[in-house]
Amino acid sequence: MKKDNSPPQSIAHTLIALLFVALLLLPVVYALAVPHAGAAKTNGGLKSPGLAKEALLEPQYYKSWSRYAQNLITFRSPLTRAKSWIDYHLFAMTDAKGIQVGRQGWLFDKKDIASYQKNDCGKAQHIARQVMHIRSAARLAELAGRRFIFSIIPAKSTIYPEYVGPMPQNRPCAKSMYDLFLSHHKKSPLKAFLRLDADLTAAKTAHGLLYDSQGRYWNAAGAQIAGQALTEALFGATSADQGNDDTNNLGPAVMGQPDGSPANSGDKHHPEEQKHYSACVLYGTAAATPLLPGLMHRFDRLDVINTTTIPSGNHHENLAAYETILILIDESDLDELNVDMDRFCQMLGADAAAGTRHAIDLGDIKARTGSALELTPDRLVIKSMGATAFLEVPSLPGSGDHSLRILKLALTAPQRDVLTWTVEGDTTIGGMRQLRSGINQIYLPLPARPFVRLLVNTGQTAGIFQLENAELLSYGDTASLPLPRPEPGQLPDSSRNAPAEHASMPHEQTPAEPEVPPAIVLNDIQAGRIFQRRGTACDIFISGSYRGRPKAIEAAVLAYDSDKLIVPWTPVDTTPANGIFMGVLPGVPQGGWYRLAARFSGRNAVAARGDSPWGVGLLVACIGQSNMREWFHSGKDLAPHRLMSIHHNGQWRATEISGNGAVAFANQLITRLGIPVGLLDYAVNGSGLRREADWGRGYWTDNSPRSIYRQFIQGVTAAGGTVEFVVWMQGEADAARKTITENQYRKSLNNFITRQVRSDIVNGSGRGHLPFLVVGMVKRPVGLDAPHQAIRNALVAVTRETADCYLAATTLDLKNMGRQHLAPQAYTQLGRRVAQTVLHVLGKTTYYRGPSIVQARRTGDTTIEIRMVHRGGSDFSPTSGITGFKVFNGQSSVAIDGVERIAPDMIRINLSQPARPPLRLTYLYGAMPDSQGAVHDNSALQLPLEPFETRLDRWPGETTRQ
Amino acid sequence: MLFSSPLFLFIFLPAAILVYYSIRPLAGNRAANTVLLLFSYLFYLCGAGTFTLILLGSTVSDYLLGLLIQRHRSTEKLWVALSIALNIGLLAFFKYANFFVTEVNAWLTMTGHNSVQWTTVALPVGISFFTFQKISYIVDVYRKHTRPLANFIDFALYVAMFPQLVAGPIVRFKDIWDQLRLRSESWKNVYAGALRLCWGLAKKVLIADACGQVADVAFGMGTAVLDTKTAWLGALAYTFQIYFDFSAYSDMAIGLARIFGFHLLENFNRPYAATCITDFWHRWHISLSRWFRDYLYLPLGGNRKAPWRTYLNLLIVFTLCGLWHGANWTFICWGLYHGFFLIFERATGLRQAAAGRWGWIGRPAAFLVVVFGWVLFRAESLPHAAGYARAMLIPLDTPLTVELYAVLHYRNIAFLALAAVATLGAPFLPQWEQLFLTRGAWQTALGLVLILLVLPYCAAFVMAGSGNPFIYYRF
Repeated sequence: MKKDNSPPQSIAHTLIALLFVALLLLPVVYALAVPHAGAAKTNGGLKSPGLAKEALLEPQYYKSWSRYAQNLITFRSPLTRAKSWIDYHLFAMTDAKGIQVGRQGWLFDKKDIASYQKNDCGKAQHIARQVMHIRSAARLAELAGRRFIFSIIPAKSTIYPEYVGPMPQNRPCAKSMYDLFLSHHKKSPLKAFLRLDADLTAAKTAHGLLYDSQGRYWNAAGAQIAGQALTEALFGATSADQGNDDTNNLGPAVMGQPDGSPANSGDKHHPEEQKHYSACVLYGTAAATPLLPGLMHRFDRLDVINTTTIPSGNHHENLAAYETILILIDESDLDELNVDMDRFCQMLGADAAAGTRHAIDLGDIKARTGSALELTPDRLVIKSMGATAFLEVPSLPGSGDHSLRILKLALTAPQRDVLTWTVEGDTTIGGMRQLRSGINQIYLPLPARPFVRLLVNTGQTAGIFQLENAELLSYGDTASLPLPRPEPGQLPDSSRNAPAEHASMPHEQTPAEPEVPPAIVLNDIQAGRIFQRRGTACDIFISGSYRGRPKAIEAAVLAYDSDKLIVPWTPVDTTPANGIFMGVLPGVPQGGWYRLAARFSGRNAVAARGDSPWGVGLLVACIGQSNMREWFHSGKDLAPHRLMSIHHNGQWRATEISGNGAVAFANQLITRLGIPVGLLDYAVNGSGLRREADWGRGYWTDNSPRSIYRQFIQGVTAAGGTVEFVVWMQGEADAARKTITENQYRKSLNNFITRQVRSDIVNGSGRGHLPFLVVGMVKRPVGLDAPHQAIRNALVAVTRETADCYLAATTLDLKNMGRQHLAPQAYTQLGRRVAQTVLHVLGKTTYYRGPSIVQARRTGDTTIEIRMVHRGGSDFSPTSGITGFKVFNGQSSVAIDGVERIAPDMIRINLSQPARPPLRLTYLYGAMPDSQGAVHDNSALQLPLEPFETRLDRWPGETTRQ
Repeated sequence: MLFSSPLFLFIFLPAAILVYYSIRPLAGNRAANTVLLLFSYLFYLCGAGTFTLILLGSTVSDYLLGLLIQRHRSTEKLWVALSIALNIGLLAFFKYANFFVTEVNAWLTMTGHNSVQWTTVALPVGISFFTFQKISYIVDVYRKHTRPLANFIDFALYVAMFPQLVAGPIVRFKDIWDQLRLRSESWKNVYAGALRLCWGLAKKVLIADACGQVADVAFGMGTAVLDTKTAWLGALAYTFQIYFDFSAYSDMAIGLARIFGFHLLENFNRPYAATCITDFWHRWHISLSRWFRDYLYLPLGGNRKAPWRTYLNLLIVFTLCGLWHGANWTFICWGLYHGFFLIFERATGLRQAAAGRWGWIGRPAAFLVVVFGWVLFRAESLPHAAGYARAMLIPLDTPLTVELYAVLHYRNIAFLALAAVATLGAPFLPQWEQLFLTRGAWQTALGLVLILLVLPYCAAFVMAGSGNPFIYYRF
């Protein structure tokens, strides 16, 4: 390189240039020279992606290198810390997600202040409904002899708003959800509500800081103030102490003083002098932790459940077993709070605790819109058109200051659905209920007003519901029987004050006028829909509307292309009324595509034909994480069979289908079974199984209302609620968490299958349990062996110990593309393997898994012989150059000279040098085993030899079976 | 691979420098070019994957066609036409086919026909830039402005040299021909290149991304609720962002090339100091303007024919210039918008007036025209652009949104203010890029500050993953 001419300046420039190069080189050179100083050791331990010839043209491969490089670079941590320091101290900001820097360096969780910023006045209705549910739950708990306290842990920004910093000015609504909650509380105090913000705000000048400037939750001083308030409410308050405190008047509610409570509950209350209690359940989040030491010694048993759904969906607690129920919810979680009144009432025996039970005459219930009713001697049959259908329950006395009334409905639903209800004239009151297929016990707490008239929508999907029973449960006053009728003016005029939904609904069909020509309109089935077969046929629900006076409505099923009659004309509704008909057409045979037709009975001219193709066949729900998503998207090598359909986000799609895995899988099944196959695509990229593996995309064991699991179940419900198989392809997110053990994953997956999936999805297979197919985790060029192997072992263990659970495919021999996904061609192989498993379960094939190793023994100083048993094949390949085997002596690997076939079921490993026991032998183990020369049998699918691990403990070694 | 990524800054670049300067003294220029070519292909492979084969294939074809033009002058037009057809064909397929099919399908659907089945085509990064470079080579050879390169390595390096491969500047063959064969490296070049690189990195990471955060929020809002001050704030933020982003890339490209001994032409010359739109296009994306001038405007006749023909030529050039930026009606309209002002200035003589004593009024007027042009450029669609412009023009005062508050923290405000001062005050400020080349104690101190403070701070930004890709990467 040339030198510059003017010496001093040139030297300076040269030195700066050298400095520049040195700075660029320094991180890597330092990391290579001092390996233990590299961030790689402390920051995830990513392995080098190495040289992957097949991935050289894949940008993903270089992204793996980029991640590895970023991890390798020393000084990354100090540099980013220095930047954060500058951002924080110089600019009073941070790039850290979810944190806002306020005044004087105070840090706030953005979630805490979001409620103030986002104009949550729009959530007034939501909060009003929450308040009503909490009030009802508290009352019910009190009547059942339980102590119930509900409290909201104030956000830091609520107690220290002066440090939050600039906020948008002139907002149309400056109320947070907490403000809304308090305003409801102010209007009509919740006796069980322990308000903490007032105590904390009052104490903040006297007690120093109650929240640390950089803490998320209160500090010890803040927790102490709150703990005192809670302890006082629980153990120490007397009515005299609380005389003037309207908002904190918990004593009577908690300590069981009359306070307008029903006479029959008085003997259940604990006297206030009782200072020690048996069992308590605390629903709370992290901020509640500092309160636990003060509470634990006061109870024989204190169960803490981290949830916002009460009772929780995952912990299977029984509220009846607890004497005290505490709910300490973070202010920022208020939106998430969900009091499941049905379960709450059932657990606390609401029926038995009722002072009076008044049966409601089902004949008094009327159809408002979109529905037709048929009263039978023992039930009310509701033909509902879905979201627009509303029933009107006769006016009932509401709850009062000293009473609680609950309307209990016993409703049989044809499928999973969501019931919604509201009070006529006040849409802020009401709620939703999840319905199961079959009978549901629904408890609707009535608001505090003299009379209410409820409007109930039985479900979003059209169907025939049956109301078995309706009764009014009254607590706290028994003087109201027989049911009083409202005086004029006590109820809003239903014709004028119908809810918005009502205003937009079609009016009921009055008896047909003579001049209106008869007509029939069929509610068509969504194009591409596939109904899950039951056996070899299924019943199809049919609905629609009509004009005229039909005696009955008939329906038929036609072949979509030829209009050939598949199911002959059959009466489906012999008592059509209100312009609505619906009924079930039984025995539609498996096959497709079909179309619907309907007509007036005996009048061929009045008929309607559906336009959409649909079929009856086999539904498979596909869930997991990115590899399952890619199964639906990676590759366009195969043309989808015309009888294939995909259900995603509640919609069916029979065209524009791609994804080698999904198409290969469905094509194979359709070709073999000759019936339509529908795949329910509900995998979520990056999703974990357990909470610890929640990388921001959700986790599957989360059963809360907005969880990915509930979205999946909603999808299944929209597809009919019944499937024949579930395919699971997941584990990478949990393996990446590293701390999740094999046992933890195994237990979680087992619970997930048995307690969630099989509980929420109707088994359409005709087997004892809904078949659950587990696909093994694919290879990953990055990541550690141990956590990956732990998850793989857990997946296999679950298939062994869970009934009707199958290892659908081994994937370690399949070609990777990029970091952790399969190559498109590999998805084709995978799809066929999983299809083979389905066919095996259906009894169509004799095998679905590849050969497995049954014996490994040392036959010499340097040789190990392995015997395998075949399932579908009789021999294997390759005959030499087999890879994937590893031999370990302790932690060190023993070099292998070669691995070769010596018989159709025998493999010999030649070690490069004699090795002494104890030895460990593995095949296709770890995060990224070498599967270049993996063993495949000679069956049609060329299935791989299954992964294996064993110890060769004795010399000369005898068999050690895995 | 992004220039502002850890992989590039701390692995790729030092490796390229080390290998290049290890080979160069021992094996000479040819081997040095080979090293640079290999690194350039590795650079492209990282971001483009299999599209690298398209780059390689089209490079080979243009290399051979260049030789054919030279050797078979009688059929040279055929080879030129073939080369241009191949290059434009590739560009049209990868960049415009999706747009074309979408528009055709919309029309078919509107007229009740079935739409055409089409699988979306991915855009190879940098195709707009290297296609224009190859065309410039073929045309220069055809015009006998230069001889074709006999050495394939040199030609492939001209097409794929990593500093300017994916986002320019568009290097005309005649500007770099000599340097491919003969150039000298020196510590002075490394020094100047390093400072320019750091300067570009700072502009991108600190200023452009800060402006981008504000612009993204404003342009992400529905135009129905967009108030006037937010609309102006967003439009100005984007005006600063696109300049600092693109000029930062050019700075880094020029700096990187300088480290390896290449002198690339400047791509920007304080464009917001322009006194009229004609002047703006002499200062903005200079390499693209020159390319269109040399290879389209002048062949169409330039201004040598009747005035109406000149106006038509301008309109054609700027429509294509808009289309070059992307397959969207917003880009086409943006090109037409600038074309209209160029014609207007030419027809009214405003461009001469603005260059003289009316410069004080021409400068803010041109800036305003450019700002509204960027609104068109940034908007998702024409209705979005119209709604946004309406929000800028029809006064509406509503409170700032929470989202805007979230990005208007002190750091972004400081860098937005810096961007405003640097661009609007450009006529009165020194050209920073030239300062690095001048000698003097404080210039040296400035260099030290850049290397020792700004570079680590920017590196920390990069490592924290808070950066965004360059805007021109998608063109």
